Amino acid sequence: MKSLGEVKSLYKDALSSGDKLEPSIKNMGEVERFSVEKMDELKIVYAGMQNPRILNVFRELRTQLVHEHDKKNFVCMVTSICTGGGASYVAGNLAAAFALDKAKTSMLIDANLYSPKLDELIIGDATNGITDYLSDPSLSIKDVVYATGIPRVRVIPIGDSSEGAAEHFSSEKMIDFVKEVRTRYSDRFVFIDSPPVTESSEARILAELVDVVVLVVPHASVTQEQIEMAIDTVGEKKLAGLIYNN
Amino acid sequence: MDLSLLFTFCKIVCREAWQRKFLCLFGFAAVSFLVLLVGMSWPSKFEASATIFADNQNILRPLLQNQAAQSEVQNQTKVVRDMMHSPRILDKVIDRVFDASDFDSAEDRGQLINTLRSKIKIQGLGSAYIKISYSDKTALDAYRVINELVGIFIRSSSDEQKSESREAFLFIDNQVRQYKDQLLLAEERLKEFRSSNFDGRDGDVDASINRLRDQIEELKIGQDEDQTTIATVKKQLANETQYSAKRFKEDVYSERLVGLKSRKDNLLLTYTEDYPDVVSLSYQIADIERIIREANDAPESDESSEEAIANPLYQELRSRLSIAQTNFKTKGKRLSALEALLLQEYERRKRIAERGAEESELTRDYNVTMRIYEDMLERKERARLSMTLNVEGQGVTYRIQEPALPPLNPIGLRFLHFVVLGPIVGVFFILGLVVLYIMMDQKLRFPEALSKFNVKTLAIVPHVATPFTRRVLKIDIVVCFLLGLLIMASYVGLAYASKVGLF
Repeated sequence: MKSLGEVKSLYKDALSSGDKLEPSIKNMGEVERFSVEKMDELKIVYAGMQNPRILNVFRELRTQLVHEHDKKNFVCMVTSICTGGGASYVAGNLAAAFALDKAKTSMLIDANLYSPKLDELIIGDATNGITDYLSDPSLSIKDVVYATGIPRVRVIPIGDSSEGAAEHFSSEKMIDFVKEVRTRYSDRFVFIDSPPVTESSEARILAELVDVVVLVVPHASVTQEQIEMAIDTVGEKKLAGLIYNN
Repeated sequence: MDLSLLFTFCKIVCREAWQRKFLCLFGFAAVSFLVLLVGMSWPSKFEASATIFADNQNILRPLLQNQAAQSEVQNQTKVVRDMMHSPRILDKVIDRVFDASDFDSAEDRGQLINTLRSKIKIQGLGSAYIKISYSDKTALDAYRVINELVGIFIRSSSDEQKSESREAFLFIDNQVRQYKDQLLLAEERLKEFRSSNFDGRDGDVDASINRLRDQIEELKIGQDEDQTTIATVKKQLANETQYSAKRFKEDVYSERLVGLKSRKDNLLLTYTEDYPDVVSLSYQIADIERIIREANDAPESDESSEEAIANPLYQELRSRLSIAQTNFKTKGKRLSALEALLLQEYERRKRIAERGAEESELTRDYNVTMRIYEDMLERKERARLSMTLNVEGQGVTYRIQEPALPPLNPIGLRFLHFVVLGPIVGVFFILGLVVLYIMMDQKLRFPEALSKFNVKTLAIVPHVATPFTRRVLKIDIVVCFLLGLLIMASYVGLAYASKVGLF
């Protein structure tokens, strides 16, 4: 258990490291950080956590993904095979693990229409989300990006206009949006938390837009046939691999 | 199975069980109490046993050895089992042990006999020892039944032994009588046969035939001899008859001639030829020589002269011829008589041979019957002795080797076993169900199974407990522990209450 002083110094480091970042990142205003307890509560990995095993798992995962993309930034969709499979948990932790590196930032896009969970990472209130952005031409990307309690992690929540989301996701605007978030900052890694691949059409649409897909296999919840079906749906080309979630 | 895989499997079983902890606890409690209830209603069983020694000697066997083919001696255990299971003995046991008024109807009684039969176990220990055991709800009942059963069996088998030996004696006595009658009959037949047979025996006929043959041979040779003698003598006699007349003259003149010649020779020594005496002598000699010549030349005449009759040789020959001829004739007569006799003997021998078969059959009958009769007579005396021994209770075949004792402890599963078994069965039952569920359920529980797909496994994320879930877990553990404790306390309490007899 880290003492409060240590945690504070950690945050101070994080804050001061922002000065050394590229000018583009500097523009991002940092808000207050989650406490260690809160991070534990949210099951988000952080440097110096009590159980380093879980941290190492996500670090290893990060290394593998970065390695596969020649260290370039990418848009990664995290989807589960069934509802409650832990895609949000894996997406949040992947974002946190990427952001552990002070030279990188990550963005989490909540596309899970049926059980959005990333709101809880946002500090303060989130008024607009991705669906609002896609349906309301007056909103810009800036309006839907929110800071979180995790250093260097931004979240775009699902928003309130979830009707016709599938159509929104397949729109030109969505394609432009994904391109925009990827190309705007070269050190930003984008993770989309998508609904279960076998249970929704949105996941399939989103898979077309992203660079890489990670499939979460929950423990004792799916059969082999379901896994095979999910792999077929995503297509082996974009599928980076499976993550077994205990 | 790989050890690590087994370990993983165990972990998964525990995890699945924990996920359904309250259901599992409930199942465990239900199974444990069920086992306890079975234990409470499980009847305790007491077993009493006795061992009897079966003397394998059967009375009939030594008595009838080699004489009669005796049926194979049955397996003693089987015999005892058949006897003890017989309604005759079991009926007596029921009369003595149970309250007869409880089993008024024949159906009840039959039911009880069947029950007893199924509970009585008879087991052979080696060749001659037989263990009889019986189990019942109470120690006293078990003891009384086995005691009475063995007692009644021994008594009835001893009675049977007595009757068996008496029957054996009677049987042999009867046989002896029959054989005696047969023997007398055979004797009578043989006597009759012999009294009607005059031809004598084979040996006699053969001897007499041989003798006759010898005599005939001898006679034949004798006849041959006689014939030769007759022929020879006849020839000699013929010569002798003719020869005797001439010879006489010749001999007489020859002697005179020789005398004259010697006188002439003597005179010639002194005188010359001219001497008258010599001349006279010469004339005489010439005369005599002429007479001899005439006699030789003269034809033989049959007329017997006085000289011939007087010939002794002739006489002798005649007498010998006569004797030889007589002998020949006599022998011829004897020969024909002997040959007739020989034919008779042959006839006799044929008759004897015909009757011989009959006689030997009768003799054989007699001998065999005689031998068996004597043997039987001996056995009859032995049977009488055995019977006497049995009547005095000396030849009992079964005796109690190990008497029955009242059983102290029940056999089989006892209440305590059930009390101990209950929770164990409960745990294994629940774990078994979980294992079965895991085996049957198609859901993926082993991350290793992901290697089957042609996709890389990026990571295996361990289960993460938040402070909240940890608190919940702690509460769950305490609740489960308390629940388990409660189940076990009520289990032990129920078991104890049942033991001290509150139910």
